[in-house]
Amino acid sequence: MLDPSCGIVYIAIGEKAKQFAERSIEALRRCNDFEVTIFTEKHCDVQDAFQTSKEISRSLKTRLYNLSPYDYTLYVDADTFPDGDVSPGFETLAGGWDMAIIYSSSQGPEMMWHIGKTERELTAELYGFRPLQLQGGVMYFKRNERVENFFTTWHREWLIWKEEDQAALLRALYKSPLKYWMLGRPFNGGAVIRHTFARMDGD
Amino acid sequence: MAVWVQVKSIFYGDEKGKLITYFPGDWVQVSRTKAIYLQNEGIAKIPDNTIYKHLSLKDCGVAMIGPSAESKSVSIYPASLPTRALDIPGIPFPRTILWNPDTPANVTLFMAGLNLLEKWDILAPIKDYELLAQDYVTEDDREWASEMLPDLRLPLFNMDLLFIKKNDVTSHLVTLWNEFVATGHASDISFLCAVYHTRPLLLSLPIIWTDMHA
Repeated sequence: MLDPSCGIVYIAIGEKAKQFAERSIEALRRCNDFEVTIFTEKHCDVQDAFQTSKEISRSLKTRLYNLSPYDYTLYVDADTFPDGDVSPGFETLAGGWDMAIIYSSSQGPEMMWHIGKTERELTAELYGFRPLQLQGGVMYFKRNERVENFFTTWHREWLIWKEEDQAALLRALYKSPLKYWMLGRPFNGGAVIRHTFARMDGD
Repeated sequence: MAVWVQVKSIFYGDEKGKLITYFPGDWVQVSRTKAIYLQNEGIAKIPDNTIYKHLSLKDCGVAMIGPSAESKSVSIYPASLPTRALDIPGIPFPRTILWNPDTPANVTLFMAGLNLLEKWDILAPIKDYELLAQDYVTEDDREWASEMLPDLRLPLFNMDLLFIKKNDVTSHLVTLWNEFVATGHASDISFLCAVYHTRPLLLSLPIIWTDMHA
């Protein structure tokens, strides 16, 4: 691959999320000129009887490997504001890493606070301890077999509870390890990419 | 004999006269009697390492590093591991826990860590959630580190407790790490650069592995 394509993908299900995505892209354009793709309801797999916008959004997110048109993808939640240069994550992928991701601000007792008790406990039990919580709202990934396996597992794990995707992400990482590079909070909730963590469930 | 227990419901402990609140999932070291009491009351649980009985410990060991390093066995119930004192980082066992014993570590988790080396090359705890490499790096190292890494806004690892599976990738990693340090660079940023350029399957651990009150 001489010149990998790099692009940014959003998922916007419902009017509120679309408005957020538009504002996010406006912020992105101030210091980045990467291509952008937005996935909406029309990309939903019709065979899946998903009912809520949240379920559709998580289903699409955990299937992004198959949906993204880019060699190197940056996925950002619609409620983020990429105010800075996002290229260091792409450079990490070019440097040989499969994924670049950021840890959550909720660790320790607050880890996975938004996940149902059973799912949270079974996820920790799988590891034998409370793992480092990663934030799935900003992540860079490339195309290779490890990443494909990871996304396949992530989607399968998410389908078990069909709620938030973070615990499923940790179980996928356990079952299908990949080479991920950890970026700091400026890339998800800081100077490079602000994250408002807005509720966008409603249509 | 003190043992580690994992708290299941909010529990107030005393440490050197200071009241500490432990939340579900936290680890606390108590006497064996108290551990049994807390487990019977449903407040905490004593970890069951027998779930790792499939794990062969004969290729596992602890490499002690740092001023207090010494060769003595480390007990990780239900087994004990051989140790070796090292002057510089190395991987003397096929599955090595590289540990600076001056850094507190929850040995109860060692079995879980060794178990994860079935799938991962290396496990490393995050050093700090707030302060990043750009905050820790010395002025002498800043330019070098900026050339070695795409960005310095990333967390450092705590090298005082690493779980390493010996293979070509990790052997190269440790060689590079030692080379960087030998040329005058700080150990923490050298480790980060060595990881970046060797690309192991690295599982990041929460800082609680080396800071029980995190």
